[in-house]
Amino acid sequence: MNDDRFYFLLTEYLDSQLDEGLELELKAELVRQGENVDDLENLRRMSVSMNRWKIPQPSERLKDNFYTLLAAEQQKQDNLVSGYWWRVLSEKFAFGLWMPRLAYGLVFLLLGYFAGITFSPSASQNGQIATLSAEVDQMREIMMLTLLNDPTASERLKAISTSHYLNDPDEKIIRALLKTLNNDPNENVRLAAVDALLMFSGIQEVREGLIGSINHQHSPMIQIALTDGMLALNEKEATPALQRLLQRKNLNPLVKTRVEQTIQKLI
Amino acid sequence: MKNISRIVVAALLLINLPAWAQEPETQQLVVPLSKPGERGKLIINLMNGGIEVTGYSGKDVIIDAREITKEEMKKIAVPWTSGEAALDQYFDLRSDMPEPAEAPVPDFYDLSNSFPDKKDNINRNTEGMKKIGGSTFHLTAEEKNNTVEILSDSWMQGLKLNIKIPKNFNLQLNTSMGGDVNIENIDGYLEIENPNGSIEAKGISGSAVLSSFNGSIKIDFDKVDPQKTMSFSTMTGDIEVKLPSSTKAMLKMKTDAGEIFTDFDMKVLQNNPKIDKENRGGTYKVSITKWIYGELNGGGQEYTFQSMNGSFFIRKK
Amino acid sequence: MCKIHINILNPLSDNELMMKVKSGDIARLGLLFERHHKSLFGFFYRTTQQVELSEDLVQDVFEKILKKRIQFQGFGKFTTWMFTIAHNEMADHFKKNKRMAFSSLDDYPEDRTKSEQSAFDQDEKMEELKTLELAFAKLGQEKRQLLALCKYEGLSYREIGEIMKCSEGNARIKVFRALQELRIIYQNIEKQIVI
Repeated sequence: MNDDRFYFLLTEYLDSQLDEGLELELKAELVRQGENVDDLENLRRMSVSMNRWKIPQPSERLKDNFYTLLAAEQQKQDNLVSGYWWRVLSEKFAFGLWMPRLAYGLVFLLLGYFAGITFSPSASQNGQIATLSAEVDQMREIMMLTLLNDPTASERLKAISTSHYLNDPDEKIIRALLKTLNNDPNENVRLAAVDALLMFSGIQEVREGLIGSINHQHSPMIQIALTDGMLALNEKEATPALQRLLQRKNLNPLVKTRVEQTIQKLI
Repeated sequence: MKNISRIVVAALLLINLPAWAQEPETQQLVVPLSKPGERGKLIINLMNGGIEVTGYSGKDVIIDAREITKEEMKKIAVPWTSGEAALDQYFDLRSDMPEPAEAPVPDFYDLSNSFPDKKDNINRNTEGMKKIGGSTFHLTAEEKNNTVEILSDSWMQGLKLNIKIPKNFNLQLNTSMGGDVNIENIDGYLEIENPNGSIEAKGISGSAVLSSFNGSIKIDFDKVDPQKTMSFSTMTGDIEVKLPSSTKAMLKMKTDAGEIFTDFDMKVLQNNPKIDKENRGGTYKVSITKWIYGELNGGGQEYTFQSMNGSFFIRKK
Repeated sequence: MCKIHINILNPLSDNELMMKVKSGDIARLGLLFERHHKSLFGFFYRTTQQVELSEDLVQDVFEKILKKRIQFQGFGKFTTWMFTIAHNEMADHFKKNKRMAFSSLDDYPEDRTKSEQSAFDQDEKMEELKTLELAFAKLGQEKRQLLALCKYEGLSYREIGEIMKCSEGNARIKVFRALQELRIIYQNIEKQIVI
């Protein structure tokens, strides 16, 4: 037997992946080489018991650091883009031979003013912009929380779509969205809530809320929306909840198939 | 034993509602409004059988109700119980006997998920209240401040409702068990959930938030309210929306297995550009969207279309 | 009527997401992070048995992914590319910290207790697992990485070969030898306890 085949059989055997026939072939080869078959069996048992080694969870720090990195990169990209346009525009007006001098000066002045405000914010402006955007966020949050209680579904839908504009929703918003997901009487609103919450699934509380909602839902469309969301996130923690859902009496067959497929893919 | 009780039940039915043997009788209820001429609202919950709402030039709300026939009941597919068993259940329960303690509630639509305030919206004084029918089916309509709510005592009642209302009305309809909903000639806002039947609306001026599981959705707008967002969702049925050709909107669409057709000159985008421009990602945002955005006439309010197996048809008038 | 082509039957795959990141849609990296950060953390933790260091290394991997996003070709699995970066980060770390390359549990008593508290099954096998973990710590860092990838992150031998720049056959041999060595160390520890 050549080396490649030998080690192939060996490693597959240690992973408990060999069928009987191949196992016999391997053991025969070992005997032929004068090796102890029992030793191998012990090695396999050790290999199997290694699977039970559980490790601690990473802390919140991991997520915080990553998303900060992402935001910084995003900011960098935006500055690059705006910088590009500024360069293009300034090149256009650098050779203003075709413009009367006065108009040229005026245009350049206006451009400078415009660029200063819009394109390349200075450090202090950055600070101002940051505070302004935080205030805008706050206003949006208040509006959203108010609208979420509107008696018409149409307004509640508008409220949820506001969340797309929020950068760092605070706990009130998350709880309001989860409450909407679990209690809103309108199907379309609940579907929109799933969508909005998935957008913030980087937040632990949101994830747990989504998983918890799986068995709280009776509508097939919501059940599927949540299941699909778990798959998109590759959220293995959702598997027990999904399995419980499968036990539900009268579970819609379309949902059943989707959940089964998802559990398979999450393994 | 069983045979005897069956005969007794049948006899009761015959006595109480001789019309059962022939065409079921239609009964009518006229509900005047507190402020005739002003905008009103119609609320219906838990109907089973079918609802037709038509806008007309009169001032009152006119409700024609009759029980659905066995044949009509058969046509309504009850998703999680076998047809025959459902019929038996229905006809056994529908008698003078009190409802059995363990009336099976359909799992797929949890009715306990209502706003806590909902019941308190309508003042339950008997003024303006009328009751239809003898002991066999109970239907009540309550009017308060131009809001008319139609209620039924038994969730199992199969009733066909044909309602005429003034055109300037908003609708909030929730049917749980089955039957189609047909709306015609309304100038207002439609909020309709018909899990087990189709929703069809035409001659609508306003906006709509509609949902069905097994049924299809078809709505034809004469005019669209430019301030309102809309949402349409189904599980297996198709969604067909006809809009005036000048409608400005941002369509947000997602269907797993269906297709999307349109004769609008729709600009298809991967993201909602309005959000992208303003918002450069918060600290925790994860982008999982599978939505397709379609801009009509430069964009406007968001109209959401979502389905699992259904296809979308967005037609222009 | 014209038909709009839609292509959304499945959630976006890793490769599709990374291609979007490459073309400027940086936000999509968030979803890749959500899908894979636990797996990366697991790899680093099993190799180093230190929580904070492992977190930092995960961050390093994503930083590199962002920096090198232009280089992503879309051929082959995203996870293979990701773990190759991880493997390189690990190797770089050990180069800078030669001591750690041959860490034995005695050097890091603090983290020892932490992992002891981590979820071990509460049965007789607990002793066995503890011993196993100790033995694992005594393996050389390359072998630890190898076993981490193979046994815990579910990579195939071919993928391991790609990451460690050897053939699939060689990867198998390496894994086998690592397991053999682990067993020997394990038996030694057991013998010591008996004495």
